Amino acid sequence: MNIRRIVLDVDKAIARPSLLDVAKAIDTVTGVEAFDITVTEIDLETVGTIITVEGVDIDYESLIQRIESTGAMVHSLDELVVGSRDVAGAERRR
Amino acid sequence: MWPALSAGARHRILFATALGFSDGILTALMLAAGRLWVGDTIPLDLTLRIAAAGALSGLATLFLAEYARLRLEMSRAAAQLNLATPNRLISSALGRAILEEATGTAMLSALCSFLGALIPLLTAPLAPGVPAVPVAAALAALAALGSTLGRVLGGRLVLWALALVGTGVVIAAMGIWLNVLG
Repeated sequence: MNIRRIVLDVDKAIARPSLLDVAKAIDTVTGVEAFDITVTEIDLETVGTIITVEGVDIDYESLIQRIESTGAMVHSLDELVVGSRDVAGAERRR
Repeated sequence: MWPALSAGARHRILFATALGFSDGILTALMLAAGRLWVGDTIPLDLTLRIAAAGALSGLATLFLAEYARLRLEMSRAAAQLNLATPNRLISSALGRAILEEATGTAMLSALCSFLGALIPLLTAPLAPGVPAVPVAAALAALAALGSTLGRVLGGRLVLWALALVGTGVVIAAMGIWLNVLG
């Protein structure tokens, strides 16, 4: 299965790990070509982020393991794009 | 100042240095002021043992306190991240990071404590029979530490220096009164 894009909801404590620590961990995962970490909310003790990872044949298990090894916690997998080409995601409707 | 270090690392170094030096100087004053004040000098081996004793007890207590504080920080973070226990955080790189941080802080503080204790104890032989010299050296070191803290923390240099010198005077007076080394 060729995973091309993954969007994760990841939370971490304010003090540690730093975003750079998380970035360094993601950068070592097989198949990752580029990624973005966006802080979506900050409260008294935690930081919420959305991490978008793009590449070819991304090692999903390794990605989750590397992120959590830093002390950040993956809450949910919000988007997954698989295959030989990119596919636009559907707008979420309620 | 310290451009290559993160803010967290700078805070830890400042904390460990200030704690270590002040602890070393004040502990040496408390233990030795009684003898220094009557003009005695402290033999070199006893000087080193006093400095080592203060440093080693400081090493143990600061490591315990710092590690407990960081583990508590992990527990609070785990609760905020909706984890049932902090074990997942402790088993991550954070567990090793807080252990290294507590160890590094305690070791730096112990080294500063050792060096700080030598200030009053090693200046006594420079002017044998003049009791004011080692106490004045200790108070001068405390004043320098206070003014450095005042500058780094953006406070009033004179007030910080006076506060530490005042503490040194009180501790020295108590050391003279207690006369621990006899």
